[in-house]
Amino acid sequence: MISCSNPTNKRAVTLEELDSIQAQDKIVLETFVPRRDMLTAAEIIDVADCDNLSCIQLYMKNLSRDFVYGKKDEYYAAQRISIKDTAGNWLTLPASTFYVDVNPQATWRVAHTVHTKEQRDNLLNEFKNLDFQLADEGYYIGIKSKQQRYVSKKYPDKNLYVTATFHPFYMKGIYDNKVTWPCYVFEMYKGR
Amino acid sequence: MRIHTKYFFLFILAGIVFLSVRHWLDRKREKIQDIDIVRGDIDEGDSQLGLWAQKNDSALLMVRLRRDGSFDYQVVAYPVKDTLRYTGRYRILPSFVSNSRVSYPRLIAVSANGDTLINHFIQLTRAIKRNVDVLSLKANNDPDAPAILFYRIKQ
Repeated sequence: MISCSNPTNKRAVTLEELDSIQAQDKIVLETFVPRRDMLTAAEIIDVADCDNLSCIQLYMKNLSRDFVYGKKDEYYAAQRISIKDTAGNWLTLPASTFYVDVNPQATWRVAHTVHTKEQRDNLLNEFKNLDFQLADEGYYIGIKSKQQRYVSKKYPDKNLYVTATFHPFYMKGIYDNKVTWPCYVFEMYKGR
Repeated sequence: MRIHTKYFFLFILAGIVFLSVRHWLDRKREKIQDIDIVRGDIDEGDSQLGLWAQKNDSALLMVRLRRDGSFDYQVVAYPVKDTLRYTGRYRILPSFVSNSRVSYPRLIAVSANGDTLINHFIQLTRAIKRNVDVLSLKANNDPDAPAILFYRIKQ
């Protein structure tokens, strides 16, 4: 009886087999891991063509590996990042958000918010590669900070608004309470 | 066909006797051989016991959770000369259900110096398709949260 082997070993592996088991799992998990942390410029332009919420929802459904549906009108990047806020605290939050507002009295419609300067610079460069140039600057769409407006000859009916702010949205989603990290908001509208 | 009640009770009694004898023998064997026995056919609430390991790019992590509440955690960093070893006591806080959510059970492992080495939500997966149990440690209570996976190693 004492020399019998441990019955738990039927559900265990040796250290040598551990490598192959982990490799198997990694292949399976890789199909679920998000591949990026924000929308591309092309996607933002495509979404701006949508007239209603169902069109946007259908579009985002294809991106569901990278953007998870939070609740109505709120999409979050599946990838999370850790950033240091203005008070020096480390925060862990989704790498970017994509919010929609369908209320008739809302001053904005669709906004993609990123949370680091690198993300903002990368995204802006993508737009600049599509010939978006700075048209003017001002207070436009209900956000209390100055926005820059970009237009491109390739997309004559589209306007891109970019702003950096600590008050992106009034009490919405993760921006509900005090926001202590800089948010860079990208909005694209057809025709305004 | 008539069912004889006394044979039924004898059968139940035999089952109880068999299980308790096997339980007692398992505990004796654990002490003598210094292994952890977790039976697969009956869930006695001790499936977290045993030797668990994970190999990643920088190190091999091994955690041994023993029945008496002590744990043994080794980090074998590559090159193999550097091995960190921690021992201490661990507790499993059971899962609970509240109005807003269900919590996973929690493993808290405190080393002999008082450092908390593991403070994670755990999820145990019995061998289903393959022949290995998996212990996953999560930092958050979310079902979607990323988890560190440990695999059961033969003792």
